[in-house]
Amino acid sequence: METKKLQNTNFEAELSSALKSAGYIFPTTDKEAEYFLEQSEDIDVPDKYKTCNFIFDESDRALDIIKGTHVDNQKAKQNWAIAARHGRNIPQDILDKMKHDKDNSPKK
Amino acid sequence: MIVDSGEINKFSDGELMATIRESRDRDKILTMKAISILYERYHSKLLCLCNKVCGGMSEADLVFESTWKKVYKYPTFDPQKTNTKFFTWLSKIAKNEWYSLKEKCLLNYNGIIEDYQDSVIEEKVQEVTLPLTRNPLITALQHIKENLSEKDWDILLRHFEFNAINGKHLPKYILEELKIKYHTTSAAIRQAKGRALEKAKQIARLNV
Repeated sequence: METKKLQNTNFEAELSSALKSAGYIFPTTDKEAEYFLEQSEDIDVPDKYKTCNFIFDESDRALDIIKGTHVDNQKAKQNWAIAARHGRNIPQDILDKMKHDKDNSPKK
Repeated sequence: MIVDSGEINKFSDGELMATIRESRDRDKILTMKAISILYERYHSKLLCLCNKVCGGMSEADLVFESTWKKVYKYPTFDPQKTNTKFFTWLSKIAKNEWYSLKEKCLLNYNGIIEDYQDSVIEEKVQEVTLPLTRNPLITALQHIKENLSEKDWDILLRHFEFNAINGKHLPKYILEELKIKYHTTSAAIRQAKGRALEKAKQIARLNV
């Protein structure tokens, strides 16, 4: 039983090391990394990674993408305004007041 | 530190990292030059590794970018102290960045498991390494991959990537991800791993 367990352990450790050397999982020893560097082929690097300029950009793109989710909600906001008026158009006296306020607002 | 621009190209990885550490608050141009040389040496290999490990290009891109940002922000690599080579150190950072990305992803799932954080931290530090001369199993990997279903291969890789071998369990956030991906249960994931491992062993016996 113990022997079988030991054999399993060795096999799993050896398989783990082989997977790391072949780059299926991240290498964690120099030997694995060296083997990976030797045998891996050069790939076509996309233009965005031809230079390292992105390193100096301080935003956390990962977090932005995961959060997901900046959605431009202008259209929905318009709908909220319509809903607040119960679907009715803006009355003429309100429109006149808005225009009056706008004309009389201090210019920047 | 006064460094000739031709001279810096000949610096070792450790010397370049030392340059980044020493000049980052005083000489931005020198710092950028040093990191761009390191980038030139290793970016293609790291991107290749990230693509292979992370599967999806978008995840690979995120891990690749955040790894280099970490190198710039925390240039702690010192070959004398860490007793390791630069690419190994880089690979370990990438691995941690991927773990961290997976954790952040979990935060976005509905119905997050309550105690995931403890298990993540506990599992994260465990390592399985084996002194390797020329591991004969490397030649069998392609056969193993070809003979397993895509799902079983994926599950097997996740177990090895997250050190859930030799009796240890997958971090819960990875288990959750696999359950969602394959519409299945934790028990089925564990069974698939056992099945894949047994099959891998048989194939290895025939091919090594």
